Amino acid sequence: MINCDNILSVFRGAFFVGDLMILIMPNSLNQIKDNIDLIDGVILSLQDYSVNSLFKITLDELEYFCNLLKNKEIFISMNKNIENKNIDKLEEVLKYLNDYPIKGVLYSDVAFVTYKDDLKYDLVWAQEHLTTNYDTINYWHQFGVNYAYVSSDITLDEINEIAKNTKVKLMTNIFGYLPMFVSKRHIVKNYLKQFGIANESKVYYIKKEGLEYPIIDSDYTYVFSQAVFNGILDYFKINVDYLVCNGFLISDVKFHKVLQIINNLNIDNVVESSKKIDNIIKNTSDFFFHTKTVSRVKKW
Amino acid sequence: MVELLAPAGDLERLKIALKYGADAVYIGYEKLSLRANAVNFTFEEIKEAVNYAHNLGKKVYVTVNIVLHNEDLQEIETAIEGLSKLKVDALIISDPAIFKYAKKYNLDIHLSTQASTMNYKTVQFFENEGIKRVVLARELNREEIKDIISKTHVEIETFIHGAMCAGISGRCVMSNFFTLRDANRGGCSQVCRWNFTLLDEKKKALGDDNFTFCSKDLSMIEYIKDMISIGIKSFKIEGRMRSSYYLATVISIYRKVIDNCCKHSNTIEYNIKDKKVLSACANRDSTCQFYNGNYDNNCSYYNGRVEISNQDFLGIVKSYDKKTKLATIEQRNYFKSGDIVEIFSPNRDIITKEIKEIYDEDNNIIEIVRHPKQIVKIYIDEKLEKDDMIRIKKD
Repeated sequence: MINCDNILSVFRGAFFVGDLMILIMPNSLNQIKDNIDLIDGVILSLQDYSVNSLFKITLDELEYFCNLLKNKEIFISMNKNIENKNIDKLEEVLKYLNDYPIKGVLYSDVAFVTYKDDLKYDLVWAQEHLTTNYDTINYWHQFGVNYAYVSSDITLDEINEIAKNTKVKLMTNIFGYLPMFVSKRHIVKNYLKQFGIANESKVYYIKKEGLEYPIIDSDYTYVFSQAVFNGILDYFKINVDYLVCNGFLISDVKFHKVLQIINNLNIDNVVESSKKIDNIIKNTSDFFFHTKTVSRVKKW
Repeated sequence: MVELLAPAGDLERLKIALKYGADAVYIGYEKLSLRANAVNFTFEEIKEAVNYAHNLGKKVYVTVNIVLHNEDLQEIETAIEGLSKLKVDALIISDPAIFKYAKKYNLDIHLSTQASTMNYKTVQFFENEGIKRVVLARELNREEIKDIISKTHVEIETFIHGAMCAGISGRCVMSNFFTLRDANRGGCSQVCRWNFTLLDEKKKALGDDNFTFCSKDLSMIEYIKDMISIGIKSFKIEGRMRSSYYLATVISIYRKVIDNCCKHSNTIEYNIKDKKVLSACANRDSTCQFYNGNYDNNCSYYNGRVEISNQDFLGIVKSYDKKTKLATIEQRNYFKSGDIVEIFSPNRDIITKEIKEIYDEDNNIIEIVRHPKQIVKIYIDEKLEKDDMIRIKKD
């Protein structure tokens, strides 16, 4: 948790909302254990119900993680589209989670909202790439959704404008590879099958013009950005409640160093800290934080 | 009765689509549509489109399916109010922020496939929200669609023909990362069709240098009867950027198949020739994708594929003179005297003719028509109609 006592920029609208919370989306158990004193909470991806993660836990392991993360906020990522055949099971799982100290569940499929009244924890609208404006976030809020994970392809100004116009608690990325594609197709496995190539890598890369984009083909296929998002330079300008550091494909050692830097952030060392992270990771970008995508839709 | 729903990139193609048998068309509103590269429609054009369609007893749906950013919110109500005054038959929406305005102005809502709806619980949620129709995710199989239909009361629409996204709709922003063009706001640069090199976790190249994500197209001609039987209400053809010829060909074939299935349940509902014609007018192979539950490596291309533009379409009939038996044609591809052609129309069977006499606009006899959009006259001893299509006969 960052001490914001002297930082005037951390406001929600006109009101100071207190401390920014640091969550991690771990890529290994060690990324949790090594950093437990540096973080406020964890987003754990649930096996069979989540995308965009390699490190997934099962329901049987949940108790272990709850014990490990006492006094930390625990969010469970279930951000996968749910198929008909899994709907009944989904209801069971969501109710099962009621017995654990879960702060919230990240969801993408609208079906989750239909169970809201039966849940003892909050829902986090985490429909990656669609969480792009405050009106839609407020739409879900009227159904009891109190958290939203804003899309990784909008600007810092857009994020802050969302914050000004909603009561929903917001999460956004601050560090890590960014997801940019999810498919139900087995894009790599089918390619290997098509050409009779034997290879069982956990992570593959697609290379274009010298840049390498991680691609995972497990239950679904996911593609990530070619560089690691580093938004630390704007840390004190981001007007949200939770900042998420994603450990995907980051070594445990480097991830720990990054979290140490973030934990020691203050307004005087933010530039230097951002550079330190650039030096540790080497391949970083602030992506869309200050660069708007081109909308081919004309203004009117 | 089921609906055949066709795309229209502009007024000309809208009229072709309706003439060739579409029950309804979907068009883009120029400011809020996902196909920014299509021509799209202004308010004035939408008004004309709606009047034209309604006079034929047909419908016009307007796609308002971009994923909204804050800056889009300011004027959205004005846009929706404007569309309501034009008496469009429904809005196709993916972002629920628009629901309240559609409801306020009493517009029917169709939930776009961009919402990637994959289960009945989600459909039930939107049903309770007053949505009239849901366009299901393109990744569903027959049993999933059937199950959803059995547990819900909204109209269900599915795609039957055209290009497919490699990713789950709305969940792909590769275009944003590679080109800064916003995939969910009409700027998709189709990165999934680019060539890459695939590396393993040790960064060793796998296969040759042309790894792509490229999906083959969807074609459901063999399954229409089955799709009707499970209760799908609207059959959607993809492609607001497709040509008039493509639309006329695809729509007329599916019109015939749907009518056969509905009216004569024991007859063969499609034939091999139809399938070949559909295949010939596209520039990619097609499969039924996820529908039959056998989605596999045959549903995509993986490398080195060159898209060859179709040259079959020779021209469109602009008028026909009954006295001289000369049809005025606007050329689309090279043709010459002696070519054997097929002429198809929404109102009669395909006719096959040899081109015997060609005249230029000054009535000089010519042998070859080589210039795009060149106006020529050809002698055809059978009455043709405006907007009949002429293609080269194969086999």
